[in-house]
Amino acid sequence: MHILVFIKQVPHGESPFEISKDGHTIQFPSNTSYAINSYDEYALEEALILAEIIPDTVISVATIGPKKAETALRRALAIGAHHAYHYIAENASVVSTFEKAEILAEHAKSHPFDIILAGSMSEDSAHAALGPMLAALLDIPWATHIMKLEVNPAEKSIRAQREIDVSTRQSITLPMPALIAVQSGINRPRYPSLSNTLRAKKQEIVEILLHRTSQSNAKSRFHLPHRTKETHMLTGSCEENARALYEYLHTKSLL
Amino acid sequence: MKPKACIIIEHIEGNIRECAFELASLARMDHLIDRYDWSAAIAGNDIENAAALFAEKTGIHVIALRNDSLERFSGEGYLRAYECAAREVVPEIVFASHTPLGCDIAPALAVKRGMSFVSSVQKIAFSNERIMATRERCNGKIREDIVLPVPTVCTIMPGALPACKHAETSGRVSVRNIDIGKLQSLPGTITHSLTSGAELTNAEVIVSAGRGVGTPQHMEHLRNLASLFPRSAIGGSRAACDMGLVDYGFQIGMTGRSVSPKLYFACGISGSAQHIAGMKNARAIVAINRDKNAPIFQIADVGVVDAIERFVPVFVDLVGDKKDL
Repeated sequence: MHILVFIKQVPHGESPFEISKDGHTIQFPSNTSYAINSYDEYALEEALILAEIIPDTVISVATIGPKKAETALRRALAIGAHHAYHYIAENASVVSTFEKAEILAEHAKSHPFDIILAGSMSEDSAHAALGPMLAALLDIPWATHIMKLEVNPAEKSIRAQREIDVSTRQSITLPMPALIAVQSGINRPRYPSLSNTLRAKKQEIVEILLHRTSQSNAKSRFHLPHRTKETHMLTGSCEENARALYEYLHTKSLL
Repeated sequence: MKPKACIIIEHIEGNIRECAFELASLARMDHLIDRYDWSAAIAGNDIENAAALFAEKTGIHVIALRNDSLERFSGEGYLRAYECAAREVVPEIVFASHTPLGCDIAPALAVKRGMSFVSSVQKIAFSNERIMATRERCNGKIREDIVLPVPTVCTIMPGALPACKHAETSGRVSVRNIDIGKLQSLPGTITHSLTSGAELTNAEVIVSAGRGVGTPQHMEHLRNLASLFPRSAIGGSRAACDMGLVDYGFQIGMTGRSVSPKLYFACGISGSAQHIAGMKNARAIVAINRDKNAPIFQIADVGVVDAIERFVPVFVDLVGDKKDL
């Protein structure tokens, strides 16, 4: 069985950033640390779990991103992916989700797959769009926000459970090939061992240079959120802050 | 002729979800009300009553897309249904809810209809003859303003808009028996499970954990903080539940519970719209986070920039000392 997993590299959640004066770009300093988008880590882990159950399963990962996104692919190889494809685009942040879906749909058309796994959204741009867009381009069935996944390779079918909210789920059966976008918390992503991390450093990553320039015409303006409240920020030492918080709660009769 | 705007009515087994009525409030917004010819579409098998209810409450013309294979939700089936509606209406803009079911079909509809896609919108405004959408990125740290391109499918966060006021006159209902061919997907039943966490609803003080709590060991500090208050409970963000710090039944936010305690401690919670949707009605919010850029500080009454394991024990000890006096 062939599983394709699409992953994205994102800046660490607490990374400092700057918004350019014209508001059109978000800049992260050169020492920013990056990681695999956490939703995609769950997708990758789900592929690894399936590969443990189903013999002869081959996992390929692909990403679209700048050269430094290679570290995300190396980590995917270190935890057990077999092949890695890197669509190199230095300006990946301005490529629209639809354009990314088109690139990955072309990738899927030229590589064998029974299941495409992806995260339900990315932590940084949070569009939650790639999976269904990709399925629509490939004309394959799909389901998103999946919290439970069972694959029957003999019947070529997938049984999945989607989360509608924390106490409501729906089951769905899809024939393969299909696309599954997983919800966070479906599993516990593993960590790579040191020996596998070292091995992954030598593994081949297929690089494809993207020459296309973005056709996206939606121009965004970024800004910081506005304060909705007069927040009392405590700026003293730990002890001073504790006393100030106590005073606040005491005067409000909350403590 | 006016351009068309169409609302996708989300429902579970014929019960219309609150977020669909929120979308209807767009049709009453200044500028939008006259600019568009509004309609709404609902797909399913036994949906005539739901369609009539929506038309009556909102005054919007409802197109009910009927087919036996739509008894249960599948992205494939519902997409085909909404494609039928889009072929009939040819909307310049489609509004759907940014929910697991809305997000399952809206991006695919955009692809199939050659429309742009703008998602998880928090605010809609109108200026210079254009619709401006505001959405958030990076867990709420950055806001993004986008002039909606034409044509567009746009998903709106639940809770971002007020529910639509009851209309004076009912809208029409047009039932369409549509042909959607044979589906590959076999959607199953919906299961409702009783989860833990009911005590959150009655708690006066909630101590809530986020990703910033870091490890299960640090939950001890939160339990000590909660024990300072009678009628208190511990909850958590989605991230805290995913990390196993808090049981999913105690999740606060869009896919979890909505709470409105007297006092809410947000411990190591960044403050994504997903989370804020569930706790914005707390009367007082205290945020503790070592990331000074965390958006939770924008809605907090008191903010402390510090690590949970550093600040909380000091605060708990201080309160203990005061109580001993």
